[in-house]
Amino acid sequence: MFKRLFKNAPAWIGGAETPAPVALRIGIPRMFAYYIYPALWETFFKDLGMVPVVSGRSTMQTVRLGAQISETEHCLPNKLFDAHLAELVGQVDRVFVPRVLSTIKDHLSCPKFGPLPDAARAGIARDAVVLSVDIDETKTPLVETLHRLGRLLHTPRDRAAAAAEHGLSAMRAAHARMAAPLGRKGGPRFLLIGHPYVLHDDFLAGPVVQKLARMEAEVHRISFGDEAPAKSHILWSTSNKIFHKINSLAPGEYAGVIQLTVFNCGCDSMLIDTFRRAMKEKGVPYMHLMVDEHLSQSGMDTRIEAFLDSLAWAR
Amino acid sequence: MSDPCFLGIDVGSISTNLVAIAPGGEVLCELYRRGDGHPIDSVQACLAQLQEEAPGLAVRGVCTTGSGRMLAGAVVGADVVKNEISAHARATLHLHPDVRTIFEIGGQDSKVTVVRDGAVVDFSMNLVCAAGTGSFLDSQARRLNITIEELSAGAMLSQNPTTIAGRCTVFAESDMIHKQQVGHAQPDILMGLCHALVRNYLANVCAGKELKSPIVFQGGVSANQGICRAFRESLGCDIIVPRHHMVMGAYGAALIASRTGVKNTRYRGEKAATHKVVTKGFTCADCPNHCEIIEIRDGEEVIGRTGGRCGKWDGNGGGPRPQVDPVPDLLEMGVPEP
Repeated sequence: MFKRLFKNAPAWIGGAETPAPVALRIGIPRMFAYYIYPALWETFFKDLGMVPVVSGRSTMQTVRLGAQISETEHCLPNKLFDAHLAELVGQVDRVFVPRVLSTIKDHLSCPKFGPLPDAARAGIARDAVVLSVDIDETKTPLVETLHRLGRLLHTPRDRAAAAAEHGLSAMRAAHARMAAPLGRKGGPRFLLIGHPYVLHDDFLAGPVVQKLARMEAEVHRISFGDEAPAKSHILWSTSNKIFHKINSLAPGEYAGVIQLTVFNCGCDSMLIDTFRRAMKEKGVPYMHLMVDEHLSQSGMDTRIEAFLDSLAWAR
Repeated sequence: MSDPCFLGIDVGSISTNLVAIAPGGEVLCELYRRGDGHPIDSVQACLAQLQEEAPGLAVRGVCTTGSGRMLAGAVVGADVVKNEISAHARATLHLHPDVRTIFEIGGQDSKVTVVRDGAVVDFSMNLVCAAGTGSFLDSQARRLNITIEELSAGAMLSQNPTTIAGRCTVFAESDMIHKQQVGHAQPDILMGLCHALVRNYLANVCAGKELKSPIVFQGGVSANQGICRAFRESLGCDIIVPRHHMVMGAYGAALIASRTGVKNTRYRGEKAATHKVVTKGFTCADCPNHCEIIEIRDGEEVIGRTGGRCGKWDGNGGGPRPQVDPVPDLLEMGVPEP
C-alpha cells in the first residue's frame, strides 16, 4: 500500500527510481514546410532526442478527408495539409507547424503560410499542442531560427547547434536527391515546374510523373536547393525561382515543360500568364496542367498524351 | 470479295461514332449514334450497323479515341488507342491542310487546338465546368421544352439577341428565366444562349491562345446553326464547318489506324459485334488510394482493364504490368550521418 502510493513519486522524496525519460513524439505534416525544407525537420528533431513522426503520403483518402474538414475556399494543398495534420493529432505529443514567412532573403512565401500555426491551433489541432517557430529568412538566417527552436525546446546550446548543422546538411542532400530525374534515363527530357510541395506530392504530381514515365520520358523537376536566384519583379520566392528557371532554359535542353498548378492557388493564377508568355518567347513547348480534387485520370492522360503527340508532330 | 478498310471509333460522353475509310482515306461509312449511357452496347450497335450498311469490308486496322477509348479499344480489339485531341487534329488537317485553329465542342468537353504549318503547336481543354459545352445547351433546351434542333433553328430567327450570363449553367438558367419574365422573344433568348456559350468558350478555353483564320469548327455542337452564327459574329470572320463535322474524332482515328502500318490487326472481328462483353469492378487494395478497377471480360477471357491512378492495371489482362518509378520518399531515403 505504502509502496504503491509512492511508486510514481520522484526520487528525491523517496519514490521508486525515476522512469527513463520517454522521448517526445513530434508530428510533421507531409505538406508545405516538409517539402520546402526537405529532411531538415526529421533530422533536427531526431538529434534533439525526439521521435519525428511524418504523416503518410497523400492518397485519395487524404483528399477526401481534406475536403471534409478543411475550409472550402482553401487551395488544394492547404486542404491536404489539414488532412495530414488531422492524421497526426492524437498520435503524437506535439505537432510541428512553422510559420514560414520568407525562405529567401527579400522574398515572400505564400501569404497563406503566415496564419498556418494559428489556424491549426484554432481548428484541426485544437486538441493538440502545436509547436511553431517563425521562419523569416529575410530577417533571420535559417540556422539561427533552428537555434531558437532548440531553445524553445530547452535543448542545450551545443546540442541544438549540432542538430541544426546536421539538419541543414541532410536538407542539402535531400534537395540533390529530389532533383534527380525519374522515368527512363535517356528518354525525351521533360521539366516539371511548380511549387515543391506540389511536384513531390503523391496525389498532386504522382500521376503526372508516372504517366510521363510510362511514356518513356525522362522527368526532371525544378530544384529549389541551389542558390537563390536574383531578384525580379516577382516577390514570391517559388514563382521567382520558376521565372528564372524558364528564362535560363537553353534551347533544346528539354523536349517540353509542364507546369503543374493547383486549384485555387492565388500565386499561380496571378503568374501563369507571365510564365506562358516567357515560354512562348523562349520557343519551348509548354503545357499548363491544373490539378484539382475532381480531375479524372483520363482528363490528365488525354492532355499529356496530346502534348507528347504535338511534340512528335512538330519534328 | 472484300474491300480493305480501316475503322475509327470515337466514344464520347454523348455520342458514339464510327467511320470506316478506304486505305486512301475516302469515307466508306460514317455513323453517329447518340449514346444512351451504355458505351459497350453503343460500340457493338455501331459495328452491327456497319455490317448492314457496308457489308463485305475487311478490317485492316482499328483505332479508338474519345473518353471511352480504353473501354472501346478492349471491346473491339483496337490496334491504336489515341487521345481525342490528336485524332480530331488529324482529321481536320486531312480535310483542310491550311487550318490554323480548330474549335471542337462536344457533349462534355470543349477544346481548342492551335495548328501552324500542319502541326499541332498548342491546345487547351475545358476544366470540369460544363458551361461551354453541348450539355449546357442540352439542359437549357430541356428547360425550355424544345429539342436541340429547335434551339438551333430558333436562334437563327433572332433579330435582336439578348445578353444572358453564361458564366455558369446555374446563373444562365436564372438569367434566362428573368429574360422570359420581362418579355423577350424566344428566338432572342435562344440566340442569347448561343452567344453565352461562345463567350464562355472564347474566354475560358481559348484564353491566351492566338486564334488565326482559317478556323475549323467541329464536334457535335457544330451542327448547331446558332452557335456557328455566334462564332461568326464574335470573331468577325468566317468559320468552316467540315464535311464530316459530327464524326471528326472517329474519322481522325481511322486515318491514324491507316497510317500506323498495322500488319496483323488485333480487331476481334465478328466477336467484337456479337459476343456479350461484361464488365466487373473491383477495388485495388495495393495502396491506400483504393482505386476502382474495371475488368472487361468476354466470357472467361479478360480482354482489358481500365481505371486506377497509377496505370498498372492499364492494358489487356495478359500483358505484363508496366514498371514505373514511384515518387521517391524523402524519409525512406534516409538521412546522411554527420
